Amino acid sequence: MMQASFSLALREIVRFLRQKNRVIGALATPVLFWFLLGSGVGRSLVTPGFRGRLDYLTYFFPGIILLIVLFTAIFSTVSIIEDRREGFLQGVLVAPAGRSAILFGKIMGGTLLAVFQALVVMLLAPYSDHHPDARVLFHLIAMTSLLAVGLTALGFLIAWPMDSTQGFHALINLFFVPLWFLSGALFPAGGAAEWVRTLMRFNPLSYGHEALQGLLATKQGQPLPIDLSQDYSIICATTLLLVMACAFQVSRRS
Amino acid sequence: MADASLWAVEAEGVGYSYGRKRVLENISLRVEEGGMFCILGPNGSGKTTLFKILSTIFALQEGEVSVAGRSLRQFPTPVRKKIGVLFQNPAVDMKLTVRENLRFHGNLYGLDTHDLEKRINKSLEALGVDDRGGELVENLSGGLRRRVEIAKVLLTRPSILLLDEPTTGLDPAIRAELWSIISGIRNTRKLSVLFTTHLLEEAEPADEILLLDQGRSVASGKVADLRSSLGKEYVRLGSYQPKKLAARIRKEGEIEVTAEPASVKVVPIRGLAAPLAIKLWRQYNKEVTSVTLCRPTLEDLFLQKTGRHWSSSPGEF
Repeated sequence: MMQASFSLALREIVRFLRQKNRVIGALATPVLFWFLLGSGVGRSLVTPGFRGRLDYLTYFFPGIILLIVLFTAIFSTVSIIEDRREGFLQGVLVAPAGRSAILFGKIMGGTLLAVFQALVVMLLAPYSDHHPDARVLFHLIAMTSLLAVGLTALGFLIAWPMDSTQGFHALINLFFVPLWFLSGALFPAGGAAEWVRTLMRFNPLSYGHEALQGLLATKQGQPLPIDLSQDYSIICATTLLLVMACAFQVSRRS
Repeated sequence: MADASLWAVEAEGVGYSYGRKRVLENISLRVEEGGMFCILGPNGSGKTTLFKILSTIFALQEGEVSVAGRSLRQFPTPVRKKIGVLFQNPAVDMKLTVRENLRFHGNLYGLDTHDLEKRINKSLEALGVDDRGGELVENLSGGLRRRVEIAKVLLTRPSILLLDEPTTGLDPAIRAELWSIISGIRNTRKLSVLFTTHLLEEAEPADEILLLDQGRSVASGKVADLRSSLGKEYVRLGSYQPKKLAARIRKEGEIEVTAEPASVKVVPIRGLAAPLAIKLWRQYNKEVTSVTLCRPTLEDLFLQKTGRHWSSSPGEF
């Protein structure tokens, strides 16, 4: 089964790299958002950070990393619908590898792509004078990977029963985008209305955002400003639940 | 009863429903090892559902199916290793090269990686696409894509090939090519073939057929037997006014006359069709546009069993 899953993951990566517009969509769009919105808002809003007050460009950065992971997860799961429509998926379904191999292949592929892109932006962004030490880098990779697995699984869960990409995009706008809005990516929970704050507290993505925000604000040698264990447990539990839901869904044959 | 291993595919009492809608009712079939079997039916007859059950995409709801002697219900994985499936829409990745597609397929089937490259070369060579290995599939013509797909399916050396309406959307030249490729493969190695089609002429070369209509088996057996069970040769007269002509011919006696759209079918009750054809041609020369001497076809079989013409779907007249 591993051979099949690896092969499916590799296919995701090769397909991604061959479709230049996907690379642009998943990487350039969030970076452009960040740059325009961050620079535009600039100092009009001074937001609280873990180490003093931040201009919006800095505040918005962890949210953009989250958006890159989100976009990559969406784009790599929308291909399930295309695969189904074009007939490719049927060929995979009749292979002895089994359906869970498809799930793990997709999640592995989506996660690798998402983590790689997030890392590129985190480390190469000329703006960030962020040089993480090994400890921070480890947590960044671990947290981004968990988020990517969870979001790819969520995309998979929605895409699997669908037969049109239009329907999928409609659901994304209704579901994924608010999930991102309410994660702290755009505004801090502190100044929000009570009901928004409550929603944010129940949004698992908020904990991912919090972890990224804390990690990205940590320079070499500094202690972490937050206790990551709560963030990890919530993200781990949610991710596990989503993967299990996917496994249940693919195992059902019509 | 014959030894189970003699049958490449054996299905007994297969039934299937989509929710409350019943689409297959008590279907049984047996495909001989090395044989060519056709599931024939008009659109909506349930043949694709049956195909999806046999190819393990749909779960078996009712009945039993065994493939190469293994129960589909109990051992889906060994069954999947035995079958090669060719779908209506090509199951190849357009964004990958020909070789990458085959490699991917081999990995899905857990083929040994050292052996895989050799198999890929052999498979591409056998289908005459060895010079296209590095090209993206999206840049190939429809006919070449089909070849790549067959090369892909044969990579795992299946003993049973399942094809779902394999010629849909292909132009006539490529259709003919596809069938000649498949018969070529069957000449070199033992391969059982099961295919579905809604085209009557495509069913003719099969050893055996199963005729489906509205989810039920209407007839099954060897094509020649089914034909001879239909009885005699007959005469078809082309006419602009078939009803009028039929009424006149009916007076001749000792014949059965049916008016059909644009023609009149005349079956001799006694004697042969050939002399009758000459006689009718002479006698009704002015009203008749053509005379054809016909053997009963699968279309006649369908008409006899269902009371409908092949081209008309249920409820149409």
